[in-house]
Amino acid sequence: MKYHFPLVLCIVIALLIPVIARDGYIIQLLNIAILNAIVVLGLNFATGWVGQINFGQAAFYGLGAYTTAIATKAGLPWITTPFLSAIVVMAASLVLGLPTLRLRTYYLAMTTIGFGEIVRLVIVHWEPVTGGTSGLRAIPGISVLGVGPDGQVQHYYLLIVVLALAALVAARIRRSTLGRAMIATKDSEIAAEQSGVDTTRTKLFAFTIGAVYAGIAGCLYASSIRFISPDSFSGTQAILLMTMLIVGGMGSIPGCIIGAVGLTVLPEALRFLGQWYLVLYGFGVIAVIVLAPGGLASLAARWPRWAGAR
Amino acid sequence: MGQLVVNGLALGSIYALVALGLLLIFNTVQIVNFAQGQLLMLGAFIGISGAVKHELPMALAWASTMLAMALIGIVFMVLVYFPLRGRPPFLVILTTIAMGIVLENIALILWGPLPVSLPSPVRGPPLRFAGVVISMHQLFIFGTLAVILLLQYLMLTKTRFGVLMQATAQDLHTARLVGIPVNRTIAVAFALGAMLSGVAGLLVAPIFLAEPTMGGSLGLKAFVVSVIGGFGNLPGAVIGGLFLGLIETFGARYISSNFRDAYAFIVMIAVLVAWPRGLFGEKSSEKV
Amino acid sequence: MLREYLKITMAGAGLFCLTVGFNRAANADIAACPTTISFGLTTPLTGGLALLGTQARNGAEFAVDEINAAGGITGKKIALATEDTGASSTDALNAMNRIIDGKPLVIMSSMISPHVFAQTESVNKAETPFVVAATNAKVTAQGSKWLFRNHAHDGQLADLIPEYLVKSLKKTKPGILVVADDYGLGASKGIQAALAKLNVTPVAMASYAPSDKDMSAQLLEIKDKGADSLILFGRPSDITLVLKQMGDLGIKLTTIGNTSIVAQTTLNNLSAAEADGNYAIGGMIPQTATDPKILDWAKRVQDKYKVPADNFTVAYYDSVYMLKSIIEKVGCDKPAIRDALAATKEWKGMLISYQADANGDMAHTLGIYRNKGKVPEFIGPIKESGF
Repeated sequence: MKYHFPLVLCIVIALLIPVIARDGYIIQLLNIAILNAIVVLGLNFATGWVGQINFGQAAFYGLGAYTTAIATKAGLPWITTPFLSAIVVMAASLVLGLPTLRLRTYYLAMTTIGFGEIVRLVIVHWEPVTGGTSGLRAIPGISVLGVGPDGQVQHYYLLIVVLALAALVAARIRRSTLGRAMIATKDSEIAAEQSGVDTTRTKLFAFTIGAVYAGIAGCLYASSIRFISPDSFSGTQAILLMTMLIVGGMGSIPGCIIGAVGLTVLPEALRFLGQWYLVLYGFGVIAVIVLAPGGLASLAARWPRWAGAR
Repeated sequence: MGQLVVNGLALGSIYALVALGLLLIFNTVQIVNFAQGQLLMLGAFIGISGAVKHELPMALAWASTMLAMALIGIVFMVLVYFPLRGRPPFLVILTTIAMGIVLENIALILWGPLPVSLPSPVRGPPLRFAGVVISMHQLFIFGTLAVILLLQYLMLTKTRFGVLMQATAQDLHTARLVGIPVNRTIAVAFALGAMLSGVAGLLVAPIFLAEPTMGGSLGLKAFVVSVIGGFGNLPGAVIGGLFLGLIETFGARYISSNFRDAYAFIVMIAVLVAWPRGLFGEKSSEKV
Repeated sequence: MLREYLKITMAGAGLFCLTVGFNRAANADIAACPTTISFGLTTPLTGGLALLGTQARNGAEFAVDEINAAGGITGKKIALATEDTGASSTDALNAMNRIIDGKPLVIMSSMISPHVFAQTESVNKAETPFVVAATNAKVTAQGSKWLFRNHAHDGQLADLIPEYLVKSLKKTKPGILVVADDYGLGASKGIQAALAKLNVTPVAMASYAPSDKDMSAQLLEIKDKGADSLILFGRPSDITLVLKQMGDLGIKLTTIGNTSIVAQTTLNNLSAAEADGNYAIGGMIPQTATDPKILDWAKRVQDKYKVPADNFTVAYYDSVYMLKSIIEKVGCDKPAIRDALAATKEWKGMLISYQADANGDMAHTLGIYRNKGKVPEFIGPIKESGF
């Protein structure tokens, strides 16, 4: 593997962080960043590799979180929740994906925005089930056969493992026939069809796999943060996820992680800027798109020894 | 019920105006400007700055706002269009969204979050008949929409400039080869597009008040309207706008006010499923 | 000889122990405070909720600055650490974690209930007294012994508004219109329940999204269904639009709602006709006070922060002073402060007296207001039943 050294370095640093930074705030923040990274990895399938714009990823994230929260609060054992969340988001992604396959970029963007809004409105107004705008709290934590992580640090290690698995699966898909089909579809749909690629199925797969990533991340979010409310899965969050993907590096697995961690930590680190933070954030996104459309990962790739997966 | 029609049409006219500005830019350079709503917001605040803060007479305030918006449109073009020529569409979408965020937060820093009002250019008691109330301002909105539609039609079909715009929209490279001043045409498109949103802002502020976050929702509805009518199709956008205004108002009244925003999207998705190119068809076809 | 030495040594040791013991017992009454007393505050300072959230910061900071200028608490200055929660509950949780890392003596959070719901568990774990204005009735039902609420809540409004409407204003066919966020929807539920107890059924229940600008459909529905009154719950920006549109549509209904109806930011954008005659019940606002010191305070707050003070500004200002008087009595010991808060009885704030009940709610007196043209008038105080 040509990127052996930097990868190992990152893993070592990641594992050592809880030892160095003991305080709950940083670990909690990183946990949220890791969950975002899993969601962005999911977004990468449909948007980074197939080129389908998708502003509905936050809605899948929320559906996963709410499914898990409602299930565990109703008394179901935790082990069922990742599956339940995955099933719910798969169904939702089919509902969203099937009719929109024929749509072109701008229409697709609007439709996914609409989907996200409708899901959010349902969550807000279906108060008896979802807790409405107050959200759901005291969500039971992760527990398999009575054993579960206790405290921020243990959750951190668990999430790192899940992220690693998610990245590995994504890398394998990328190298598989399906992955090549995805890239081909993005470059030119007509050419791909001519080469025998079933672009419709490819698009749908990418969409659904991406949704499942978000759904499972949502499940973990609900079980580790233990409080959810609709404002964490709003349209603003959907845009933020997109920018994480683009700033980190569309199509690049390390890029997804860099973008997610970076744009989760950055607003916290720059809180002192107040209102100016969002102005800078907007300009920053524009700068990255204009100057480095491959995102930060592409900048890193300029150092040949440190090339990320492509 | 008649009242619902009047209010729905007034709201729809605003949507239509923003959509017209959006489509003017799109028809020329194939960019969907997701910051169109924020341009509306800027128009409202500049108008308030002129009319309320500097106490200019209303006509002068409107005129200076138009001028300012034209300049802002050109600046927008420089910041957004030139750097992104040839980039894939959804990077452009993200860029315009980011511009929208920048504009909204600069507005928050400059003017604060408190809503401010702008007096209407027209005064007088509302018309009342058959149990329906139409305010002077609502009539002014209808009138402005009609005038702008007429002007836009005349410009695009009868003036040399309008023909140049259509040529640029159809094929940029050939237009340039043929000697059409493409950059100037594009600049005018952006200026006019921004001005149209500015007018919408000036029309909206007296009834909805102006505050920096007002652009997001109105901009979004304008896109929905454009999709419904068929992207690029100007009359389609107007009909789509009026239609959406009515649907939202009637839906909120007779189905449920909780899901008002959802109606726009549901109608849009329904239209797209049945007519993937919008109700009236797109004007220009997308490149393969 | 040795035995004598031992006796003296033992007596000396015993005497020494007694002296030390006595000193210890004396100091245990007031836990020593560090050179700076640290307070923490999380509230939205940016984003859609900033208009409300900044009032918490304004009130708390104004009090802290006043106290520090007068020498601080027992000579020690207060350091107020403020963190911006933004609009999302996840960010609110992060902000709270940052505050907790600074190990403050007391933590305050805003009036935004979803944020407080997200934060409570962390504050419980940090075992720190937690003062909030979050208005959702269930905030104090979480079972946290550290959480105290310094402001009127929706449960009280849900009971008092219908009661006043039915019994004092004699209206029996209300329409309900609320903003579709936690604030409005939570209140709407409570109001419907209270109306049911009074054997009144609302003719219509409508809501509007926080960013909506056109509420005419909802207003027309309420009018068409024959309402004789309107119960209105929202934030100043949207309430302004509702009242304007009521005027435009010529809808005349007795209107009662939360203090957004009499808030300065609402009245600034309404004409006298649009504002006139509408009622509000809620946390007391300073603008209608007769005491010139309070009016001067409101003016100074407005001059400093460029935004008129409201009921929340008062609540947080009062809270800081309340904490000051508690710390002066029991020192900088978190459990002792918590116990003192729980024992609050008739503590006189700027406009109301505070008294802690079993759940941690401290505000039980609200104000009834009515607009006379563009100026709110204070009709009188109204107390939660049982107080």
